[in-house]
Formats: sequence, structure tokens, C-alpha cells
Amino acid sequence: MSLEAQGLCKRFGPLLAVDHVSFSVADGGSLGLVGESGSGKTTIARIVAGLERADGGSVRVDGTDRGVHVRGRAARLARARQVQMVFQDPYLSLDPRLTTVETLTEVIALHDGGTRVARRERVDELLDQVGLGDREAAALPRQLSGGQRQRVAIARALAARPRLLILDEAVAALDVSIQAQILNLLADIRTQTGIGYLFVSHDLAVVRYVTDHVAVMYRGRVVERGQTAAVLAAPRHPYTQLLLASVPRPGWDPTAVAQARRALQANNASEEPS
Amino acid sequence: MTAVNTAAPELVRRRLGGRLRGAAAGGWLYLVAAGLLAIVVLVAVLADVVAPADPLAVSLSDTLAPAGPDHLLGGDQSGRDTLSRLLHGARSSLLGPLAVVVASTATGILLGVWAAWRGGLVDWLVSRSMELVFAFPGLLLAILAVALVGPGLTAPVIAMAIAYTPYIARLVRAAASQEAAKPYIAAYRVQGFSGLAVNARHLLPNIFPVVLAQTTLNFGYALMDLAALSYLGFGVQPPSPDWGTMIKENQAAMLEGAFLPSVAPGVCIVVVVVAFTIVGEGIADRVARREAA
Amino acid sequence: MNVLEVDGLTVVLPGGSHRPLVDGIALRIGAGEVVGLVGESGSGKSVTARSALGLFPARSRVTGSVRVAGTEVVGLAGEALRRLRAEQAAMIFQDPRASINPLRRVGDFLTEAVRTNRGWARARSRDRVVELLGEVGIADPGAAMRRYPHQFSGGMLQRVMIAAALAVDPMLLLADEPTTALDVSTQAEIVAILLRLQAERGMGMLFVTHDLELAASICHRIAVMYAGRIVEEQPADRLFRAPRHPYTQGLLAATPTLPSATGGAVQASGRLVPISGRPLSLTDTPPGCAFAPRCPRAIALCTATAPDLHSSGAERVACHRADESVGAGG
Repeated sequence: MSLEAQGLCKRFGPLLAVDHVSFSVADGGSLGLVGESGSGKTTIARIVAGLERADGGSVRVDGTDRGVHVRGRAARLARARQVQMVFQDPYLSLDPRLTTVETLTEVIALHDGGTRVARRERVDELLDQVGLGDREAAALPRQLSGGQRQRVAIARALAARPRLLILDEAVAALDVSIQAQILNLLADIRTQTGIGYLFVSHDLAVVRYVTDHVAVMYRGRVVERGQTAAVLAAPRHPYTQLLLASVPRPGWDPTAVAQARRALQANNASEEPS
Repeated sequence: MTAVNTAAPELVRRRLGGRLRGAAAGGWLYLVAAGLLAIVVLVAVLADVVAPADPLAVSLSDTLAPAGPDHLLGGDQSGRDTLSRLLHGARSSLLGPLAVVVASTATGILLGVWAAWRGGLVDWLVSRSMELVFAFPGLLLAILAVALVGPGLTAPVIAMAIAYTPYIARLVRAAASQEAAKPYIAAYRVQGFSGLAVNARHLLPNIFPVVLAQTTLNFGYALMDLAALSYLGFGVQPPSPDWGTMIKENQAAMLEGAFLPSVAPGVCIVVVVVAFTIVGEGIADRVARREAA
Repeated sequence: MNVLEVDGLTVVLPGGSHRPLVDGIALRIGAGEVVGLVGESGSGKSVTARSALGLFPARSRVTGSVRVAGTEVVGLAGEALRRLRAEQAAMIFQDPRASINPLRRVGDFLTEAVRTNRGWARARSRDRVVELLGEVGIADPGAAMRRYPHQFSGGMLQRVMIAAALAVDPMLLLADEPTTALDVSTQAEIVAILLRLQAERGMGMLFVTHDLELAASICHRIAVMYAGRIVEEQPADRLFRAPRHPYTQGLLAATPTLPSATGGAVQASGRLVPISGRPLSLTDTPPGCAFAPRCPRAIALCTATAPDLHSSGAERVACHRADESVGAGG
């Protein structure tokens, strides 16, 4: 399955949040959508997921348009099996009243139907896939740590057997030691299932570990795209260069980064007077 | 990146509630009030069994009889047993507000969730019409209804149900908008669940405790309002026993030194209204603590 | 002279069954020194930083000593505590929007900070505020003072908060994740401003962060915390090149890095090396080393007794196996 977004536009009041953005994710591919807050990356994720309607452009999955308003159960389910989403905040992305098993069973019942035994088998399979044990299976969200909740959210997204998973800053709220576990888990899941990823993040270093291709967004537009390794090794656009220089490391010079940022902003302001 | 407002939606309170909020948080008072309400409900259900006499049996020899072994709370103007009338009166005094609260809560939830979920024009229409109803005093609306339909419980109950709907609808709209902005609701939509399923199975159960708090407070307020209507002669008609009616019937007897027949139902109204307020505030307090945890 | 001296600081929440929020913390910051305090959520790094302002969790039991420029903070109250916060130490928080009254103009907020702390007249305070806003790189201080907090971006508002912190001319600046809520390129600006002002004024700075790479690139010295204790402290460059505690090693190996960066434990497969398990919750109270359940090098001794923080020269490490030849870390 391939995802193809073409000429996406979205306006919030006077702000053009997404400005003619096009990209594609090949079957089983992984695209990083990188940018800072306000770059439009999350809006794009929500449009692809069907949570937001684009003002212009189209999102096509294997040639069929996702943008049309769906009616009826069969159409809704078919859509859900194309694309699923994992959100940033593990504390708000699960129903607080439901245990892990209940959360997963509900989705499986919707998509697979099946007998109670079959559903329970599928639950165990999913728990196993995301590395959760019996204690976590019976727990309510508030009894789980942030990393465990995010595993539940991933399992819930996988329950519909989607062909593409949108990960919207899915590891940004996690501690470093847990973040690494989830990043490795995501890499494993892709190898095992051949699922595709649209990985939305502000963090170039993180993107490196889960994507093959990357699109860098700045003020609603894609300013640079290419293979992740190539873009990180030799960024061409000044904004990508700034993003890379902004990542702290030994010998890092924050003053030089600050100057580069001001230069870029001044340059931008002179280009498009607002 | 939507910022989620995590402050709990504010309940609609009358002055009484504010003073009782601190007390309700204590815990034991909440249990006492809840226990008391359970007893009152039980008594109302079993009035036929527990009442010592027929509430309608007139006995002129017992007119304004003092409290004693025959009449534990004495007799009224017509010599009817005050205690039996109180026990039977609990029925209409509770059934009226129950009908008001059930109808207004159901309508309020439907309107509130609809407005929050659809947004836009629907939200605007629901919000404005709720403000319009809110601007009318409930009692006035009820008196107007009685004037049109005639006395009896039906007209005031319908009028009060309409008057109380905005209390719930505005609260539900605020709570539901807040809840709908959380990513778990978005996740269910992406998952392919219908809007109805997401609302019924996930959104509503999660906002229900705060709605329950408001509903409980409303019960107390509605009881007070309906008792006032009966007292004014617009509600339950004599000789049917009702707390509000009983105060009115027997207030003249106070001049003759017989306080019990009118004061006893008055005390009942106050105690039950206060108990509902304490329980309502107790629930609200629990909700607030759960959100903070 | 040390602007901050913490010794044996232990903070326990009421209720018994919890481990201490922080346990036996010892930390020194000299004038003009930038010290990083690094740890994950719940490690106690913020509790430690706040203790320097006498900000302890409600009803907690505090033992040990916290001295700011020689003044003992534990047990300090009333006017003396107010003077400490007005004259010696100031703090910058993670979320600038949560620490400023949204209904007041930025200028009024800052002028008030100067007036109450210095007792200056309004006009003189205003002049000082204009000067401070200039120092944090706000181009038109006069216009900025007339605006409300919502009219500022996160980065600009954090500059305002830095100006407010500097209004008291502190000897010690406590920065609690000051850039975590900001974009990466904005983070560089704020860090640059903080470092410049810290150097110009010779302040001591405690920089609290979860980001080991950030701390390593701006601090002189770094203390790493885990489950309420300091597990390792070293000069920043040494800590980054040769971490001694298995937790620090694990943290470095688990941190995603860019290809140009050196020193990280990036493997050929492009996979990170995560730390297994999960952080200790407040109710877990193991008898031994708190990191033992997740530690690849743990032995029986580690789960039995907690290691002390041993000093040798400029470094301190709390690990039973720190002196053995390091074979882990890849």
C-alpha cells in the first residue's frame, strides 16, 4: 500500500498552516516529517488520519481518495484499516476507565468480530508484539508508566491491522531510556509486519532511527526532502542546517546557532513581507 | 498541537452549596447525608407499611392533638396523623423532583454532547437557546404553566424540567468539549468507531461523575422549588399529603400554638435539601480529586 | 567561594511507605560555575533545585543542609526566606506561561519584581527593567513592556522570565529545564543568553535537565541523579567520554545522536541500546542499589546493599563495581 498526499492546504483563520504540501510513503516505507512547532506537521498528520479536513489537495491510498466524507460502517472500517495513529501524550491517549485487555478487545471486536477465544488470542498476540506482560494486560492506564501506556497505544493502533501507522511525536514525552525501547520496538514491528510509518517529530536525531526518508517542514512548507541519511549528512536548505546545528553536542556553540537563526528569520522576512 | 484545558467544568450552585462545600469534603458528613437520603427513599417506598395511620383519615376529635402515643407528631387541622402524612408526603415530595431531574438530565446530556461534538452552528444554537431558558426563573415558568394547564404536579414538573435543562446542558457541553479534545477520543475515531459509539461508550462514561454531581444538586433545588409551588397552591392539591402543601395547610394552627403539623414538613424539606447538597458536593469533590491525581 | 552547598539533603513525603524524594544529596556550586543536574522524570532533580529557594513539597520532612552563599535554607521562614529569594537566588522554570500572571502587562510584572525586591521608586525600577530586557535580547523593551504574556512566543516569554530572575542580581541562578518546552533552535538562543549573563555576572548556575547531551555541552560539571540519589558526578567532558556509573553509560547509549556527533554509542545496525525495565516508582523501596534491577552489571551485592557515593579527585560515583575495568558500554 502506498500513501500519496498531493498539494495539501489547510488554513486556520489568517494562518496558512499547511501550504501545498506533497509527499508519498511507499508500501512498507517510513517517512519522517520533521519541523518545529507551527510548521504544520501535526496538522498534516491529522489530515491523513481523517481527523481534520484539508482545504485543498488530496490524500490517496493505493489510488483511492481518503478525503471524501465516509458514511456507513463498512467504509469507516475500511478507512481505519488503511491508516492508524499513535499520539504524543501517553497519559491522555487511553480511555482511563478501561484496562489494557478491554481497550484492545473493543477494537478487535469492531474489526475482526470473531469468538471470545479468538479475540483473546489476538489480544495476547498484540501484547506479545509490543512487549507487555500479564500485569500490564490487567492494569488500568493510571497503573502504567508512560512507556507502558505508549506500548498499549501502539498495540491498539496495530489491532486494526493498518497498512500505515502515523506516529505523532510518539516518543517525545518519554524519558530517554524508555524512548530508546519504543524506538527499537517500532523498528522491530516494521521489520516483522512490513507496515509503513509516517513519523512526525521535531527531533532529527530520533527520526534517524526509524525512517528511510525525511521531509523537513518550515512554516507550512516542505523545504527539503530526501533519504534520511543523506539529508542528515549533507543538509542543503539553511533551515535544515540550522535544525541540525541546534542539536546540542560537545563543542556545541549556542551563540552561533542563535545568530544563524536570526539570519534565517531576517532572510525570510525580506522574502515575503507580511 | 491542541492545548487541553484540564480545569474541571464549574457546577451551577446556589448559595447554600458554597457554604457546604468545605463540609462535604470531610467524608463522614457525606456518608451521613447519603445514609439519610437512603432512609428517606426507603420510607417513601414503604409508606403504606411504616405509616401508623391512614394519612387521609379525618378524625375531628384529634384536631391539633399534641404529640403523644396515639399520634407521635400530633394531629393536624383536620385531625389527620401528622407522622403518617409526612411519610406518605415523602412520595410526592421526592417523585416530583425525580421526574424533573431525570427529564432535565437526559435532555441536557443529549443537547450538551450534541453541541460539543458537532460544534459550529449546532453549538451556537444550543448554547444561545440554553442561555435564553436560563434567563427565565424556573418558578415563574412553572406558575405560567399552571396558569395554562391547571393545578397539579404535571405542569410544574414539565416546566421545571425545562428550566433545569440548561444547568446540565451547559455543564455537559463544557465537559464534553474538554474530553473530546483528548487524543483517546481522536484515537477511537481513527479506529473507525461511529460518533455515536465513541460518545456512548467512552466520552459519556468519563464525564458522567461530574454530571451526577450536578444532578444531585439539582434534585435538592427541584425539591425546594416544587415544595414552594405546592405551598403557594400551584402544585400538589389537598387533601393529598405533600410537604409543601402541609406547611400551607397548617400554618394557621401555629397561631394556636400547634407547631408540629407545619414545622415538621418544613424541617423535612430543609434536611433533605441539605443532604442532597452535601452528597452532590461530595461527588464533585471526589471528581476534582480524581482529576488532580 | 561556593554559592550553593548541599549536604545530606533528604526530603521525605508524609505517609511512610514511600522512598525519599531525594536521599542524602551533596552538591557544591562555586561562583561562576555552571553545574548540570541530569536525570529522568522522578529522579529528584527538580526537588533538589527547588530546595535552594526553600521550596519544599507540602508537609514533607526535610533533613540535611542547604546553604546559599552561606545562608542555611532548611528551616528558613518568613522575612529571612523572602530576603534569600530577593537577594541571593532566583529560578527559571520549564513553562514560562505557567509562572506569569496572564492578565498583567509584562512591564508591570517586571517592574513589580524590581520594586518589591529593591524597594526602588517606580521610575528607577522602570529604567532597570528596560535595561534588563535589553540584556536578554529583547529588541524594543519599551514596546515589550506594554504587551501581555499571550502576545509573546514561548522563547520570548522565557527571556522575560530570565529578566525577572536577574532583577534581583542573584549569586545563584537555578534553571529548571528552562528550554524543554521550546523548539530546538529557540533552545540555542535561550542557552546562549543564559551562559552569557552567567559569565558576565559571575553567577553560579544549576542547570537542571533530562538531556545529557545538552548538559554536557554547556556545563562545567555534571551530577547524574537516579531515584532520588546522585549516582555520579564528573567534569562534563570526562562524564561524556568516560562515564563510570552503569546508569550514565546506559543513558548515553540510549540517547539518539546525529551522525556527525562522536562519543555516542551508535552501533552499525543503527539501533539504540535501551536500558531495560522501567524507572523506580516512589513506592518501590529496594534495599540495594536502586538501579540494580535494570543494571547489566549487577551482582548479588548490588541488590543487597546500596553503594555509597565515593569521591576520588574531581569525580564521585556510587557503584559497587565502579573500580573494576569497564567492559560495558560498547
